[in-house]
Order: sequence, then C-alpha cells, then structure tokens
Amino acid sequence: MIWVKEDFVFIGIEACSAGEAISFLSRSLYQAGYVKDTFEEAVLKREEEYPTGLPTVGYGVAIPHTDAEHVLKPTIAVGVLKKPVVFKEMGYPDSTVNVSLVCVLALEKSGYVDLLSKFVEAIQDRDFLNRVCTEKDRSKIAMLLNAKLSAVQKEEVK
Amino acid sequence: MITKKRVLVACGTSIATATVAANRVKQIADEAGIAVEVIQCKVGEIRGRVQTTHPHLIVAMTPVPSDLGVPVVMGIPFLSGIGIDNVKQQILNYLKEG
Repeated sequence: MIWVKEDFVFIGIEACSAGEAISFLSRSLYQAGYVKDTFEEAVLKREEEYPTGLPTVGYGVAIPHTDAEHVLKPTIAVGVLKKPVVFKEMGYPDSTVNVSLVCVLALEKSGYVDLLSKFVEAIQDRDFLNRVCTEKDRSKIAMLLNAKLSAVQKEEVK
Repeated sequence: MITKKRVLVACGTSIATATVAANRVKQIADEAGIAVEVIQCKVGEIRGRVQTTHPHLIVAMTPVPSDLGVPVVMGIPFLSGIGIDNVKQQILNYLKEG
C-alpha cells in the first residue's frame, strides 16, 4: 500500500492559519475523489474540539483527521508550510504549537493502528523530520514517508 | 491469582490516537512483566467507562475531567516523542502500586 501519493504532497504552502492549511489539503483529497464533501468540515470541527498539534523535535507536526465515515479511499495528504502556523496542542488546548508539517490523515477504521504507529515513529525521528521539511522535491517526500511506513512493517514481521 | 491492572486509554472522537497509546502501554507493561488489560474509550464516554471497568490508571490523549477518582497520565508523548521516558516511568509507577 502506497500511503503517501506524490499528488497529495505540497511544498511551500502559504497558509495564514491552521484552518487554511487543513482546508487546502482536505480539498485536494476531495477533488481527487478520496474523501466525501463532508470531510473538510468534519476535520476542521474535530481539530477545534480535539486539536492535533504535536510539539515534535525541530518542526511542529499536526495530524488533523476525522471519523472514517467521511473517507472514501484511505490516504495521507502532506503539506510543508512556507511559514509555520499556530495549531492548538493535542491534549493541552491552552497551549499552541508552531506547525510546519501538516499531515491530513484520511483513514478507514481498519489499518488505523498500524499506520498511525508507524507514522508517529517516523515523525519522532529528528533527522527524518528535518529531511521531510527541507526537501524541495515532492516525489522525494512521498518516497521518504512511504519508505518509513513500510520499513516499520518489515521489522514487525521478524 | 494475579489480578491484571486495568488501563483505560481515552481520546477524542475517533479511536485513532488512543490505539497508538494503547499499544505502547501494553508494550511498557509487557517489558516490565506486569499483566495489563488495556481498554480504549472516547473521552465523552469516560465517566461511564470508569464506572464499568474500574481502571487502575487512565492514559489520556485529550483533557479529561479531574474528578474521576483515578490517576491520569497524559499520553501525548507517545505521539510527539517528547518526554516519552517520563511518561513511561509515571505509568510504571502507577502499575506497580498496590
């Protein structure tokens, strides 16, 4: 399974707010038929209620997502922002995180665990995160992420 | 007979982030040789779930009410990687109690 498609990797997004970044990425998924028209609003609403900003090392990462009912085909949209935007911090809505990497997760119920665990391991790696956030070639970002996601799977097998 | 420690993992609307945390809690307990049962719930159901499952510990991915009568550890470091050792230690301390 190729989780991150080059088509849904965007570099240098100029967003003024978390909402703008989320809307931009959600719409790209909607236009390509990966999510329902209800997805964008559902993600925005959930982000408001249960924020997803993570104070990861070096670059802040946000993982906006919503319930599976809004998803048609599972995938991840990745946005590297030109300038960080403020997200509320997951678990601590009174704190904020300056987020440079927004990954909108369009996921179905099954496969959530596995993928999220792998994804989370990937973004906890400082060097990896740095490479993703400074890479200028969208196909390479997709490759980096996909390699990381499948690499973890292999380790689990042995 | 050894009673399993029950850990309730709570997150927002979906079970996505709680699942990641739940797996880590199981790992941590396994490594320490502590038998655990990890239960997941949405934060909206937490009062009812506390009553029905009587957890020894709650691992929360989102703020939870402070009057649940059960110790709460915030599990966000399982996602961000920041302060993960501290969280592991807190969880182990609670699981080893009693």
